[in-house]
Order: sequence, then structure tokens, then C-alpha cells
Amino acid sequence: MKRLVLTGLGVVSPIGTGKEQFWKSVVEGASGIRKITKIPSLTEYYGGEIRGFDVDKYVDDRRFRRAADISKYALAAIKLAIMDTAIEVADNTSLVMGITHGALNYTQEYHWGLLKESAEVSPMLFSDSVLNAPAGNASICFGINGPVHTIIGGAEASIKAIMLERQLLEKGIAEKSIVVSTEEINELAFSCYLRKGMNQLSEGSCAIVIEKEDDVKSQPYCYIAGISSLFNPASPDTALTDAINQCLQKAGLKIKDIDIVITDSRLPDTLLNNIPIGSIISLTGNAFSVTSLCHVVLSAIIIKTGVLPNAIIKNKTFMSDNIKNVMVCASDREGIVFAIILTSYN
Amino acid sequence: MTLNRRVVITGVGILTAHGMGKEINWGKMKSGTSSIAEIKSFDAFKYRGKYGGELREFTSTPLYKIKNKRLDRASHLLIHTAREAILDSGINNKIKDRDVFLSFGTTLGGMLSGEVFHKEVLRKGLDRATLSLVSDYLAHYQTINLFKEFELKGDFSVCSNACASGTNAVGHAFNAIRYGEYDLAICGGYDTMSEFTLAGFNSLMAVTPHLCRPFDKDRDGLVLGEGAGILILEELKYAMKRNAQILGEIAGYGESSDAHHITSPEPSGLSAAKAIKTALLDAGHPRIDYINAHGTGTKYNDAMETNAIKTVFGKKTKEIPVSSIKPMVGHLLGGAGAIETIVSLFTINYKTIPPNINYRTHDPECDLNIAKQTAESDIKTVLSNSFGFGGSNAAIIIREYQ
Repeated sequence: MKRLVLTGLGVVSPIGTGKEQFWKSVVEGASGIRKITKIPSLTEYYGGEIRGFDVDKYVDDRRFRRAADISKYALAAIKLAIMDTAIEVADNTSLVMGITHGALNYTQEYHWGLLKESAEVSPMLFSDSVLNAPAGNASICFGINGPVHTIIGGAEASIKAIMLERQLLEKGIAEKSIVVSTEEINELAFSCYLRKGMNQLSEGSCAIVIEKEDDVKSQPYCYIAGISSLFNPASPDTALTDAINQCLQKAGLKIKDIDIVITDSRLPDTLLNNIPIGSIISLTGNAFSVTSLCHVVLSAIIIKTGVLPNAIIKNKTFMSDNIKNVMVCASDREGIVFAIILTSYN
Repeated sequence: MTLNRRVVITGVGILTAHGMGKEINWGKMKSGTSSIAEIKSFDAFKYRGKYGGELREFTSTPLYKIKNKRLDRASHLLIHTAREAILDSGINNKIKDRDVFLSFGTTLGGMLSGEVFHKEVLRKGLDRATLSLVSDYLAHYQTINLFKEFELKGDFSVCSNACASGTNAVGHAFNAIRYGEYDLAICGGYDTMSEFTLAGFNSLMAVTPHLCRPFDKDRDGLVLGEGAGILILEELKYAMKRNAQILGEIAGYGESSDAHHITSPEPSGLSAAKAIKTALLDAGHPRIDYINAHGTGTKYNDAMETNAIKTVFGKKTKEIPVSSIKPMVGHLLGGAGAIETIVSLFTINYKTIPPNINYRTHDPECDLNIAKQTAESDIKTVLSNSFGFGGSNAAIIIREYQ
């Protein structure tokens, strides 16, 4: 089996755009959680908002100036990831996007326009509100002719996107692949999650480039050593244990080999065995699928730099000086779980 | 690419404007019956195109395990049709014992609940709109509900690639089985009739105010439909071990992206042709006996699809009968590719080609071998195409099991 490596990273986040600014904020523990400014009805609430973002800095094509924010964030993150690895997008490049909500602001605006009837409603609000519009825009913007997919889900969507890309690469359907996740803050969704007791929601996009080890021209960040995703609504705890064990098995590792776990979920102590845990959510807020991919990006930088950012790590007693293996995982109350292990490149 | 494991279809469920179940659906498809009528589920009178393929006889499906009974119609469509497919496959007693992969395509998810929620927000305010309405809004929640209703375990993938979603979902399940990740998959697609979507397609001038006439010179748009198509896929040895009925085999799958325009297909059809060529290569270049076309009845799609088919098949194009079922049941968006895969399977099982109804006038831009009438034919291998917004192209090949 050909080994897959992660060769490019792109980030648009509340703590900075670009991997350098993102990492600097992580190391400094600089929070991006501030009062919401974009939506008048939410200005009393806190969240991870993208501010001062200008898509023109990343994409020359003016057609995307009117695209939804969710698309613009994705275009910028993809552009940054492509530049990071310097791959050439070609016919055999694929793109898989993992998203949770889609372009809710355009959906809301279009539907309210219909309900008010007198309003002039642009057809573009409809076409850009479909769930695969961000992926479609990305394929148009970067000329991606290979498979382009949008995978819908919660936190696991971007990890399922990586799994699909792994299949496309391993079976020779694609030669280079881009995984991206993107979200935008929306008034209705924000309000609903607040009523459900979830706060500090956020927005942004992360993108990664995955290639086969034999094909890389630049120094990779890390290997993707193992990945697993399961759903068992009858037994969520069993699902998590099974997913982690499957992932470890695929990576040829044992739990004691894992140097740090990046997760926003509560994991049983018995499972973790005192391994340090970290999460980006305290700095960026929760953007569902984007957060999971953000954790992958964070893990890749930790492995490459060998630096453990103190600001986001709990249980520092057992921190290793030599970070080789990082596991990103999550579970939700429904029993949807995933685990992915990144391993240092030789 | 090594393809050691064969993937067979052992059960299907189908729900369209024609009705519930494969017998009524195939009976009406075969005879060329239209189930398109004025849309009744909302006030469609103000729109240019006011016709569609609604499920008039379907309201909801019984729920035995899910505690929350207030599910979006999309969940009911999916659960009902999956139940039919599971029963058809005869695997109902064993399905809880195995890890199963669920792969579905949808464009709207629980959009109907979202519409009601939006209306409540306008009427009552943001803090008083019924929160439970949005619990089933997200497009992967229908699949979560299906897991719970049938007490399944395994994994799922929900893809939303516009009108190619259903074919993509079947293709992903096909790959998951042949690459050894799972032995058993429930896959397909679904979508509901929504005012949001009808208004959207109307605003793009894509909906016909008349009849949907794929490949006809006078074609002027599509009609929307609703429903679901679900297939049970199994690895051949696994199916044989349990003495399952084998209805047919998935032989090949291909996909590509136009990278051209968010709503218009790339006119030359070269990118769509790439998806078809990939599927044919994947299947070992079989002779194609029938093409179940995407055939939406829009100017741009049908001309592009013609170009794609001609690019791939060259002089043989004239030998292959082509028809679209969309004038009969409407365009089911995320469900379309799955329904059409099932109908393609029926053409093999029943050796009959369903007609491309409403076709009157030849269009030189669509010079395919259009099946104007029902025709008996020894169909062994079928190509089914799906193309969607965002430039998504998918092609799947179904063949007789031998």
C-alpha cells in the first residue's frame, strides 16, 4: 500500500489567516473569540469571527467576489494550501470538501426574499446556496477536473473527506488531492445552537494537500498513518474505542506510542493512559467540520516543528520531548466517532 | 486498479410520483406513463413552471425505534424506501449483526423543516421559533435517523453533489465494497419537493411551464420530482453465502468535474465524457445496450449530454437506445441517479427499454437514438449518467449477473 503524506496546509481562522499567523497565535495562546460584529442581532454574543478578510488577496478571479463567505474562505484556504506545497493542479487532481451547514446566509436571504415576495431575489443566492456550491466554486477557480465531492456531516465530515481522498489516491483515481472544510457564521444557526446550550461558534476554512509519498516534490509535514470512522448509536463508547483501536491497528501502533491527542471530546481516562490532550476550540471556537480539519493542521505543524503549544495542552506531566505520533479524534453523543493518526515523516 | 471483489445488487426500494414499490414503478416506467401534475403541497401557481412529480399517496412511514417522531419528510422517504430495499434483499434478519456502510446522496436534506422554521422566525421571532424543527434539517440527519430506526452499526457517507449525488452515493458504496472496506452497503438518494428549490430553478429559467421533453428540439426545461431510490449492495461471495437473490451487478463507475460554471454544464461535454470513459474502463469496456440518460429536458444539459455520448461512443452512438425517465416522474435531484440506477437494473431484469415520453421533434443538436416507444430488447449492460450543478459528472454501469 502506498503511504500518504500531508504536503500542504491552508488556514483561514479567527486567530489568523495562513499557517504562520495561525501557528503564532496558537503558540502565544491568542484567542480569536470576540463579540460578534457581523450580525446585528448577535452583537451581545461571543464567537470566532473572521474579520478583515479580503478574498481578492488570494484569488484573482473576480467572479467570486459575490460568492458566499463560506466559498470565499474555502477558496483562500485552498489557495494557501496549494501555494504551501507548490503542486500543479491537473486533470488528476481531486477535491473533497467536508461541510456541516453550507451557505446558510444565502439560503436564509433567498428564502426570506421569497416569503416577502416584493423583494428582488437574485438567482445567484439560490445557485450559491446549494450544498456543493463551495466545492463547485473551488473546482472552477482552480481548474480541478478530477472527482469533486461535498461530504455532509458534523465534526466527522472533514475526516470522512480525508478517507474518501485516501481511497481515490490509493486506487489511482487521483494523483493529488485537496481536502477542505469551510463554515460561515449565520444568525439562525447561531441562535439555534445557543438555545441548545452551545456557544462560541466560529467560522473559517482549512485545507490540506495529500499526496502519495513517491510523488512528493517538497518535504511533507507527516504521514497519514491511520484513519477510522464509525457510527454506533446504540453504543457510542464502544464506537469510540473501536475507532481508536482500528486506527491504531492501521497505523501499526499501540496507544502508548501516541504522544498527544488532539480532540474536543471527553475521552475516557482508561483509554488515554495519561496522554496529553489538546484542542484548538478555546482559541478559535467551534466550527464543526472545520475544527476537525483545523486539528489535523495543528497536529501536522506540531509534528513538523516538534513544538507543543502549551496554551492548548492539558495534562502536561507526560509530555514527550520527541513528538512522533499525534492522534486527532472526536465522538459525539449520537455515537459518531473518528480517529486519525499523523506520524512524523522520516 | 485491481478489482478482485464483485459487487452485486440484492435488493431495491423505489418511491416516486408513480407510487411506492418496484412493481408499480416499473409498470408505469415501462408503459411510458406520466405522473407529473400540478404541484399541490404548496402554492406553485405564481411560478412559471408549476408542475412536478409529487408523492401524493405518501405521507409518512411507521417508526418503531426512533423516539423523535417529528421527522422531516426526507427522513420518512429515506426510511420507507430503505425498509423496502432491506425486505426485498431478505437481509432484514441479519442486518443488525453486520457492519454496514450507508452511502446516500441528497441536495436538500431536511429543507422542508428549514422552510417552516424560517417562516416561524418571521412570524414569532428568532427566540420563539420551534427548535425541534431544525433537528432534522442538516443533510446527514436523515441517515442518522435511518441508523437508529434499523439499529445499525458501521459507518455512513452523505454526499451532496447536486443532481449527481445519487449516482455518486451508489458509486461510493460500490467502491467501499470492492476495495474490501465493507461487505454490505445500503445506498442511494432522496429528495423532497420544496418551494425553495422550485423557486430557485424557476429563477434560473430551468423549469418548463409545459411538458418536459428531453432531447426534443422544443424542450424548454425540467420538472422537479420527489422520492427515493435505495439499493442493497453486497460483495458477491457474501451474498452467495446467504443465498441472496442477485438482481444484477455494478460493473463500473466514473466521475469528473467540469470546472466550468456553477449552473451551466461545459458545452462540449468533454468532462462528462471523461466520467463515462472512466466508468467504461472500470467495467472492462463492455458493449452498452442502453443508456439511461440524465436527460433533464433543459437546452444546455441535453445538448452537452449528446456531445458527451458521441465523444465516447463515436459511430456506435446510433446503435445505442437512449431514454430519460424524468418526463415521467420529474427530476429527483439527489434521488435522480439512484432511481435511474434502479430503472437501469429493471431494463436488464425485464429486457425492456422505457420510452423517452413527450418526444416529438428531432433536434440535430441531440442526434441520439432516442427510444420513443417502449421496446423489448436483450439488455445486458446499461450506462446511467448523472450531471449536476457545480459541474459534477458521474456515470455508472450496471450489468446482468452471470
